[in-house]
Amino acid sequence: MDFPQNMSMEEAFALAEAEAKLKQALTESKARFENAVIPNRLNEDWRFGRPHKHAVALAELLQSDTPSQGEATVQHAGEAAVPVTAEDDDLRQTEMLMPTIGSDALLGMHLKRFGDGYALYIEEDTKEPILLTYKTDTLYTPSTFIMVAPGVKAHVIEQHYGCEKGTIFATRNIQVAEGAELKVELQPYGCARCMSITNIQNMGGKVVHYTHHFACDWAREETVAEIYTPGADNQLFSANKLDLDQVLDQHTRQIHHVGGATSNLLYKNVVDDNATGIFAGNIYVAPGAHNTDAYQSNRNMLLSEKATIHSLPGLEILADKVRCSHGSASAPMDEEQLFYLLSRGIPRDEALALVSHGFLQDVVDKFERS
Amino acid sequence: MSLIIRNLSARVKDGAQILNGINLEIPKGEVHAIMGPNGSGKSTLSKVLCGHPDYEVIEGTAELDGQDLFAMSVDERSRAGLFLAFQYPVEVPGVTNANFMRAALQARLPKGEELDAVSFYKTMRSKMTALGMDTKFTARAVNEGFSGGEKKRNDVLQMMMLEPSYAILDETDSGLDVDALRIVSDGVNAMRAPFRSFLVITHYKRLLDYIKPDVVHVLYKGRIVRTAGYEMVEHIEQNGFDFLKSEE
Amino acid sequence: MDETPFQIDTRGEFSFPENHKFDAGFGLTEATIDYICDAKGEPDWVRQFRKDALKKFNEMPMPTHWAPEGINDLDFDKIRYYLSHGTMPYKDWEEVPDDVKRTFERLGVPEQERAFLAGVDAQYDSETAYNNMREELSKQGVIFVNSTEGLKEYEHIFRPWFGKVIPVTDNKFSALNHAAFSGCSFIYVPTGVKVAQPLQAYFRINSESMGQFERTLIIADEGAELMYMEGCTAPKYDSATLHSGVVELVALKGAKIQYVTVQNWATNVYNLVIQRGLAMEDAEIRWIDCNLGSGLTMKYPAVVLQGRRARGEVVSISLAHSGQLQDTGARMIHAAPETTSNIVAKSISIGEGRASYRGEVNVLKGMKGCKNNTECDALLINANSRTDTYPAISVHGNASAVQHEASVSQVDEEMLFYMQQRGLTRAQAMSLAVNGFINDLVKEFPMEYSVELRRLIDLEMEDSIG
Repeated sequence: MDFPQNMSMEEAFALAEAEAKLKQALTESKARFENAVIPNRLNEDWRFGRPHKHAVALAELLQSDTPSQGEATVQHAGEAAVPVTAEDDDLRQTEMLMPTIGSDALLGMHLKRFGDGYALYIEEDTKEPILLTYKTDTLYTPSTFIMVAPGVKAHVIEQHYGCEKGTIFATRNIQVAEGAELKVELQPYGCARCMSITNIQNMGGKVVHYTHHFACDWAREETVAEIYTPGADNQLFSANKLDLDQVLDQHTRQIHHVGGATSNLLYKNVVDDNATGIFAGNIYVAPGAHNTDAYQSNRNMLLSEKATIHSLPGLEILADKVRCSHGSASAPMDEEQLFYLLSRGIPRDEALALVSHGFLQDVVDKFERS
Repeated sequence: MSLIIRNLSARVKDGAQILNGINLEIPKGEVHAIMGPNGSGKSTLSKVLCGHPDYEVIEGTAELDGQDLFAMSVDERSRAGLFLAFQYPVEVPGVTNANFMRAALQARLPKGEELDAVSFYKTMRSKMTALGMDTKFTARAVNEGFSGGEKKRNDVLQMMMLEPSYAILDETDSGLDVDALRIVSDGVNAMRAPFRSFLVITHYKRLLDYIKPDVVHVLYKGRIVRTAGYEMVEHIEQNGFDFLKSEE
Repeated sequence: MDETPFQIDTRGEFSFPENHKFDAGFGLTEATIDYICDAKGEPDWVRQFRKDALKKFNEMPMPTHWAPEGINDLDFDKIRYYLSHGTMPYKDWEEVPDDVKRTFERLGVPEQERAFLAGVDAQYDSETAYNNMREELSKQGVIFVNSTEGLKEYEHIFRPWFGKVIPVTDNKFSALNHAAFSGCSFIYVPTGVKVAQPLQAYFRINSESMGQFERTLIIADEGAELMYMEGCTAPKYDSATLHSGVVELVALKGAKIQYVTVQNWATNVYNLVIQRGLAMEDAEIRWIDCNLGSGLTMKYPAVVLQGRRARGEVVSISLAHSGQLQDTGARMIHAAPETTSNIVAKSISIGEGRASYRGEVNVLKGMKGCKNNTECDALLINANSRTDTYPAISVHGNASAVQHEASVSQVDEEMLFYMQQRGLTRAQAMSLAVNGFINDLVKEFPMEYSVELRRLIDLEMEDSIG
């Protein structure tokens, strides 16, 4: 091992230890890809959302000869954006170590196609939101890395365009330093299949994450938001209107490795026609992570007879002195709200549209205020 | 022209009967008050008239300027000129006050005609100021996070914007402090006109000191048992509703 | 009410010498089943039924979605599947052997009899040792016998529902119970009969490595009503003991069944119970469940709401101290329109104890006007305890409403300080606070149980804090 010049013994030992740890982690992570099975219904994380149809098709596509082909653009990024290349071993390692929620096998396949996407090293406040777009009409497997330096305020919007028949499978690694603030939005549009695996590592800053799916036939979204430093704050939002035969399968983990931090989640769906919405969330508070505040709320509005909701909020609390709660409510439109609008003379169709739109707008308002 | 209710009986859907043959006529230009003890059916009457889905009419009719009220849907009744200031105004998350009122006013215009946004906001702001409301409330979700008093004011604001010909105020005084009560009453009084009538539902004399009714009805066990002038308000204030027990 | 009407050793850490007339040995094979059938003198259809179930048991995998990891420590070959003093229930208290009597005396059964004057069906190991039914019950046509007698004497009522609410292949433990079941109750309440007094059964495991596969079937005919109470303690042993019961309830049109359990096994007992009720039109089933003992409990009382306007409720308290995993919960399957269900679960984790809530609420396709409300609250005492909540909610269609709320909290330090300032010890203050936390649920239990529950919590607090 080559040590940099002028390094003290302690620093050298710390570096050596860190390298040894990384090596072991990489060995373990190789094993996890080798042993991983393609998602099926017996897997707790794939109980709903017809994995035998969608996940299997995605896996087959990833294992096929179909090349990863798409267009990546970035705007308003200045010096911050660097294209990801297959040769970038540091970023590849970051992706290798990222956690999934039941999708190790798929992540392993993504890694084999590693080399697309953008890394954003944000060291100055963004004046305009950085706009990142990935577009394909076949298959695209980009990786996004967002690193926000201490004290910096940034806003990033990531959009996926699937042109109706394209599949986009993206990974997103987000690291926010102490005192930094990141607003980040994920907006998939019109994908046949759309999957994203996101890992947020919060080192004492604030992350406000918002996802909005629009017109994707099948979308799977895994978000693991981790807190490593006291004072950190993770806010996760999502608002979606599902119709036709759409399936939206969202999985979240709010992990508190240390105490004295906050995380909050609000996911709302309006489900119409024959669509299915799945929310499976978990709050994990590690042993000793005292004085944690963590909340999780999933709210669904069902508009049609064939609309379906599966809601699995979860708590795993191994620490004391915590304030944690979760709630889940799935119901038709509130009759009293509807009556109130009707009583003011607003026609029924318009009242329905206003109330269901307002139900989601509420999330957008909260996101914007955060 | 008037609101005429004949022999109206109604019940909670699949539940208890609450109204037992109500007869009531409110001519244009008059203010009527309905008083009565808890559970006498005051709020049910207002909800049945507006068409709340929890209640069903067993028999009887209601006519609004000669139109069959019960043949109309909730929103049609509103557009026909009937307004209810709710006892508990409803929170509607994500829908702003301004958008809500615009949608309600737009629905009153003939097809193809667009509401003028500039004059809409101007009117709304001036009415809000008159009611002592912060004009920032235009951008807030309807009633969400409002205090009890703010909700009541917001309902009165809606009444002033929609200019109904028949307005029912369902316990609008509850949750209001003295100052707010005066402001709200001033707003209502300013709307009194020969072409508009009010039905004021309340427990207390307090509100009726500000909004002087022409006629006072006493509702008891789903029936109107007394109809008198303002002197009835004084009588109830002094003696309570105990005199009704002899009615049984 | 200072003196409880009966005294139960809270930890069940006592036992008496073993002296069993029948003992089927370790492990479960066809030979074991033949042994059980011969000992009980069962008809051939039962023997075949058991053997078919055994085949299924051997084929089926361990449960995955619904199981904590501890379940894999269980070794089915180290369990004894049948022990008995004989198959004839003792009709007269005087005939009961002295050692059994001594156990029951510690359990307070005679006081129970005096206290309730209702039928007592008390189980000692696998067979019903004492069975006394109140005269009036039989006059009303109520059948209250053990399951062996039920399937022999009342086959025409018993057989059509036996294994229908919980089929053999429901899961591995259901198959196990169908193969090895012995003892416990069969109850039939005829149309319109409302049983005024709660019916009771006591269970007790008193032999090392003794599996207890109790089997209860309760049928409430149209408009009938009853409450059934079950309470347990067990002696503490070194090697694991398995308790894997199956309880089936059938509430026909307009009937009401309340099933109350207070479970306080020793911590080396695996308590894996399947409880499920079928509620037909306008019927109501309530599970009132309290889990205090056992090392690993897996129990999720269920109601299948099969008829229009049926109602289901689960009220659940669980307390996990060090060495315990209380994996409890509830399931509500809305299989008919306008059905309503309610779940209230409260858990307390003390020391290194772990309490988990696992729940399922499912509003099936095409159902309208269904409602569920679920509340889960967890209280953590001491920094090393753990609590989990894993609900799974599925709603189909736009005419039903389902709501779930869960929270985790600690005893408020300010409140403890306030009480201590008024002169209470910390343990007393804690005990009051914990009792306050579950107070609204304790009220749901019959009074004798609620008094005992409060006393048990006092003892727990003294042990863990005092």
